[in-house]
Amino acid sequence: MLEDELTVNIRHRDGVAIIDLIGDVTTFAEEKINGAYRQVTARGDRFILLNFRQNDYINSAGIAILIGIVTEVNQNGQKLAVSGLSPHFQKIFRMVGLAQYAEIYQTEEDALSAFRRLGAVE
Amino acid sequence: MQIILPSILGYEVIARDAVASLARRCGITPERVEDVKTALCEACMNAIEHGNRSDPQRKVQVLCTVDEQRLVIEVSDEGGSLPMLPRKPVQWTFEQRASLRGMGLMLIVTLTDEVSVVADPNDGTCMRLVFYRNLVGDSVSAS
Amino acid sequence: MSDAEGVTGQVIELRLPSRLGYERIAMDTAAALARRMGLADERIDALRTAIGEAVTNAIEHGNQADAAMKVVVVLTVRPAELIICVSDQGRRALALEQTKTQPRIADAFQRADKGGWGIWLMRELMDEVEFTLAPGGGNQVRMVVHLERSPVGDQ
Repeated sequence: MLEDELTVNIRHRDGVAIIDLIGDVTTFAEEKINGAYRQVTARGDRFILLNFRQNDYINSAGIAILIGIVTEVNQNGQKLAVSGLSPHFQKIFRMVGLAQYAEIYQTEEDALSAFRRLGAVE
Repeated sequence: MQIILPSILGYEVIARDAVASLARRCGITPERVEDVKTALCEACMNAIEHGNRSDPQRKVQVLCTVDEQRLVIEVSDEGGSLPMLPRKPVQWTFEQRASLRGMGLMLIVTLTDEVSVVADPNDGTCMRLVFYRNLVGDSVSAS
Repeated sequence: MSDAEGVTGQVIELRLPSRLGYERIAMDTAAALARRMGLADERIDALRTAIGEAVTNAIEHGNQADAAMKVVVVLTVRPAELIICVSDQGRRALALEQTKTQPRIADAFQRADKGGWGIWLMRELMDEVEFTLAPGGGNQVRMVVHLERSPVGDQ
C-alpha cells in the first residue's frame, strides 16, 4: 500500500527497551510509534533505543513525531538513543537538533554498550 | 498518475522507474514488476522511435491506473503509425523479418495479460498494457 | 552543445493525484533521473527529502488532500543543473512568511504542534529554492540542484 510502510516491534536487551522501526517514518507512523513509547514507559523502562531498519524515508511529519517522543522522554526523565539511521538521516537529525537529545549510534550494539556505561542493567 | 516524456531514447527508463515505483508500492509482486518494466520500456521506445520518429518536440504520455483487479498503463504518442501486434501465444521467430521493433512487440504481448492498440483522439497512437493483480487484500486506486 | 541537451533543457512531467503516498513516486522518479545525471548518492538523498516535502505540501496544503486535484512535478534536465518545479492547484495559498520559517527544536518542545520543518528542510538541502505562483494560480516551488563535476578526470 502507498500509505502504510512501517512495522514497529518492541524488544528488551540488557535493560534497554528497543523499539524497532522497520520501514518509513511519516505521518502514518504516529500512532504506532506513540503506542510503542507509551507501552515501554508504562512498563517503567528508563533506557529507550529507537532502532531504524530498512528505512529510506523519514519526512518532516516523522520528525515532528520524534520531537514529540523527545519531549516526553525529557519530561519523564528517560534516556533516548537512536541507531540504524543512514548517513543522510543522521545529518538531518543533526540539522534539526534531535541529535542533542537522542545520541546517534551506528548500530544497536554500539547503542547498548553506551547505555551499559550509563548504568542500564540486565 | 501521468508521466510526459520527450521523444529521446533513454528517457523511457525514467517512465519505467516511475511506474515501477507505483507498482511496487501498490503491492504488485517483484517478479511482476519486472514484467511491467520491460513491457513499458518497449512500448515507450516504440512510441519514441516509430510513433514520434524521435522528434524531441513530440511527447510520449504514460497514463497509469491501478484498481483492485488491474494495473493499466496507456502509452500514447503523437504519430499515426499503428503497430501490428502479434497474437498470443507469441511464436518466437528470431529469423525471418523479425526486426527489433517486431521483437519489442513480441515481448510486450508475452509479458502483458492484455494489450491493445487504438488510434488516439488527438491523432496519435495509444498502446494499452493491462496487468492483472494477484490480490493481497489491499486497495489503492490511482488516476 | 546540441540543443537536444542544451540550455533549454529536456522536460519530464509527472502528474500525481493529491493523495499522501504519491510523493514517494515523485521521490523515486527524481532519484532515478538524478542518478542517471551522475549526482552523488548524498545529493540524491537530499533531493529525495526535498521533493518529498514539496509534494507533501502540495497534496496536504495546496490541494487540501482532494485526490481529484493534481500535483504537477516538472523535472528539467540541463547540462549543469536539475530543476524541479512542484505546483498544486491552489485550494489554499501559501503565505509568504510560511516560506521563510526558521524552526528551533527547543521551541517545538513547548508547542503542541511539533511540525513546520518541511520548507526549512527544502531550503537547507537544495541549492536554490524559490516560491512563486503556478501558471494556473496555485502554489509553485522551484528547486535547483547544481551538478558538481570533479575538476579532475572530467574531460
